[in-house]
Amino acid sequence: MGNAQANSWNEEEGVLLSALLDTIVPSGRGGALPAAGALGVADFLAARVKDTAGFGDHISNLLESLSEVTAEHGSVPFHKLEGAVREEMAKKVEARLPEAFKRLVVQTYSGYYTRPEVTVHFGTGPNPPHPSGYELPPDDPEELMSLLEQVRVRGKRYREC
Amino acid sequence: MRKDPVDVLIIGAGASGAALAWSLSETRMSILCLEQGDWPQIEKYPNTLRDWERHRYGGFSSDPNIRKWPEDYPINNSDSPITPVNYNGVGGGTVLYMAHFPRLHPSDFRTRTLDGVGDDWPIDYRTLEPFFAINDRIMGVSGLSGNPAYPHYDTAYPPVPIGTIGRTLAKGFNKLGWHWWPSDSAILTRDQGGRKACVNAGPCDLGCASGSKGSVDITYWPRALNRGVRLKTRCRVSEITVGKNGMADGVLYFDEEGKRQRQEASIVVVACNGIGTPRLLLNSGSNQFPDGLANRSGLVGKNLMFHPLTIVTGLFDYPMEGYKGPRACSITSHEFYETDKDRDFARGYMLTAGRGVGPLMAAVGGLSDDRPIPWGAVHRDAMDSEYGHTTALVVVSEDLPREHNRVILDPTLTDSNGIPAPKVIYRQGENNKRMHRHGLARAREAIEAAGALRTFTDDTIIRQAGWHLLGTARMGTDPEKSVVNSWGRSHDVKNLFIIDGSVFVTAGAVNPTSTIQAIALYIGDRIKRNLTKLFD
Repeated sequence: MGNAQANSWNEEEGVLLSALLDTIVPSGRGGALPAAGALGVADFLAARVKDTAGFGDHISNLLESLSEVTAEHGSVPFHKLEGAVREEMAKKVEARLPEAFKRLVVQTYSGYYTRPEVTVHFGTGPNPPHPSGYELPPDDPEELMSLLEQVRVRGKRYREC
Repeated sequence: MRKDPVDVLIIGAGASGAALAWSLSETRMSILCLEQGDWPQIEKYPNTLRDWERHRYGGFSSDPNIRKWPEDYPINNSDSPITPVNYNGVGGGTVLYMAHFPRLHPSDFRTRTLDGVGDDWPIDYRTLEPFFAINDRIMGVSGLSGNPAYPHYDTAYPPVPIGTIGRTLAKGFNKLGWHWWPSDSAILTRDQGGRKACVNAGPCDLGCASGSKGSVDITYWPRALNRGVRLKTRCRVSEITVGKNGMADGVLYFDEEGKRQRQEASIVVVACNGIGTPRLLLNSGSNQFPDGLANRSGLVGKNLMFHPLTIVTGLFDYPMEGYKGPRACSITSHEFYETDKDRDFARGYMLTAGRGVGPLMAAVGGLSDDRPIPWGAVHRDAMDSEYGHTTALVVVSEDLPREHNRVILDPTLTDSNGIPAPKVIYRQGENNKRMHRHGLARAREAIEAAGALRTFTDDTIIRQAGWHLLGTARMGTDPEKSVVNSWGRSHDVKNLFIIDGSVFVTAGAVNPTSTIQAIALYIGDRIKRNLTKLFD
């Protein structure tokens, strides 16, 4: 747990939040892509709590609600539940607090899909687009002209006036 | 308070203000531009940061209501399905635009005569042709000459590579026998004059850190400043003042310290685009002009036109690599641009290819972050199997002028200097709704013809796409039915000029910056030619 997170949630809340984040964005590609909680997205959320009004309250309410629905389900804590059951619990929380849950989802995606460990798997690579950009080969002029031939042959598409 | 008078005072350092400043800089007139924002700090553009994508939804949003920089003014958008977006600083909207740079069609200037809708402009395509050419050279426009959707013109630089997406969609268009062509783009494809060729980074809407994109802070302004034009930033004009003779005599503005200042001028030019310009005119009411400056027609703020947009996305079984290359510049189809009397709507639309987006934009739902894709196990499927395999066609539709759609002053909302803020009142017209239904069906047809496994369609117009702000101080020959004459001079105040997108009579269905700048250069030319009888 990073410092930012430590300032926002106690240990129990941190474990619960991390498990919820793992449920929102599970691991993938045979483990090559970590789940959001395991990647430490909670630290990103802690920073957002500091610069986004009301977001901290949203998270607190969501965690409280998650504890409630999990308790209603049984005695096993959320983070020890099997994945499908966790998702079922989280959907119940989403139904109770839809706006807060959507904000959490958006911020989770924001934290997750801006991490180089993740972006490297989505083509954009680990670095920002500038200054290097990407290799995009120039069009083959012959192929381009060939594709455009029928457009040229068809002729004018505007009205003289 | 009193400042040395200048010959020409330009309000706004964006696309049109910069072009006019350069045009007039060859005269001996003293020219000053006041800009409410600052120079862009290119080294701070977010696309040089690892978390670049998330800045689109926060501090570098194109929506001033989200961005909330000190130089931004709020816009009440509660009565509009489209929210205006802008950039308040040197360069204006060109700092954040996608640089797709088509011209209006010849027919766009004659919609009343040809199609019985809208109104005819007092100028035409041929009038603007030489100014399109000058502007293309200075902005650095790439493209392929010979587009049959236009009278012939030459392009200076080879087109941006159309990429896998362009080739894929082109084959679809060809199967259907429809028009398409590589996009005209204000993006260098070869090094020129200290600017570098495009590195195909993708997110042009977050500023171009390599200087390949033609934004006026790096095109027109260096040239204009070099010829003696002065540009003062952090100066927010609150009011244009008028003398007893009914002529504009200067402006009141807040300087960077928030102090009220006055600047006198012989000619005042408004270049604040389709929201900022009517806002300023309406804020400049006086005993002589109780309903706002230059508003005896009652049309200041009215006839607001956007280009309502919708998107059809196709999923393909091979990678599109859509993150490579300028996001809005690949190919475009004008097959349905002109009126066809067999359709149930007048005028038409453009279909333009959208390259892919970054992973965050895909996950949160697009231009705004309020429609995230599903979370949980299905999220992995969506991102891992579909991301990178999609391409989109954007339906860019012509919006007809209607007086109901307008900009007014909000009764309570103000900017940080206490200046009343604008409110936008807008409804999508029936003609446009029919056009969109047609456009969505045709876009889907094209993507399917291109081989898509399946398509995704969003029927609603995109809220966060109010880039094109037009029509709110329209030009015309009749002072009862227009705000400015054929060369941008106010009918009511003969030393007041308006040169931005607000003078558009109709909107066409293409990105307007090329035409806005051609008009500004044309007005500059008319001013220079008429200097001795400018106020007659």
